Amino acid sequence: MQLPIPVDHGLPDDATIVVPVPVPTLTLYRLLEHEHAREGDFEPSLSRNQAKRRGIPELFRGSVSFWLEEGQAVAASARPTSFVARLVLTDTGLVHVASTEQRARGHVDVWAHPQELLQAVVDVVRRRVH
Amino acid sequence: MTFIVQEAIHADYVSTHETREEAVEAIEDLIQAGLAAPGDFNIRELDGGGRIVRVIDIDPQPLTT
Repeated sequence: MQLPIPVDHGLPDDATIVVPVPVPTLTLYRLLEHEHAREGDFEPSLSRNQAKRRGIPELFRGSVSFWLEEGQAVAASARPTSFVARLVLTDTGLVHVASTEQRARGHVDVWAHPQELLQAVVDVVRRRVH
Repeated sequence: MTFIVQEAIHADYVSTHETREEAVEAIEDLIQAGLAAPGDFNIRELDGGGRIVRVIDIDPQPLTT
């Protein structure tokens, strides 16, 4: 499953193409705080004041970071042990995604209610990387 | 090389910088503004192909008075 990217549509590299989850499913990976996924793991991290201070558009303050591959998620963590959730997303109409690989290979921004994402968790793996 | 400031636990994207120093300054700016605590954010370093080569935790500079 390949998400649309700006260059394929004649758009500038910094454009973002947000689409509903492609059918039939999209598998993505998300770093968790602990081994058991909870709703808070899928809440956007930045406060409105943090985003304003750093000049981050509201569009991206409301998204969370996912990865196309488990190894890409693990590589983004500095923790000795990483917890990675695998989610299988379906086209409920309530989850939107965008390939944002200018932020690292395999990076995907996701917009959804945290409960929608928590319900899509299939399993969680523990990875020791250091 | 590209340097990305990210939230430390979930690796949520914050901002993109051309140098490590700029990325460190962005984190320290949030800390000094009282909008973040040390350890809330770190930096992922990308190679020319966009692959993550390392994630850097930073030690914030002491606050100046």
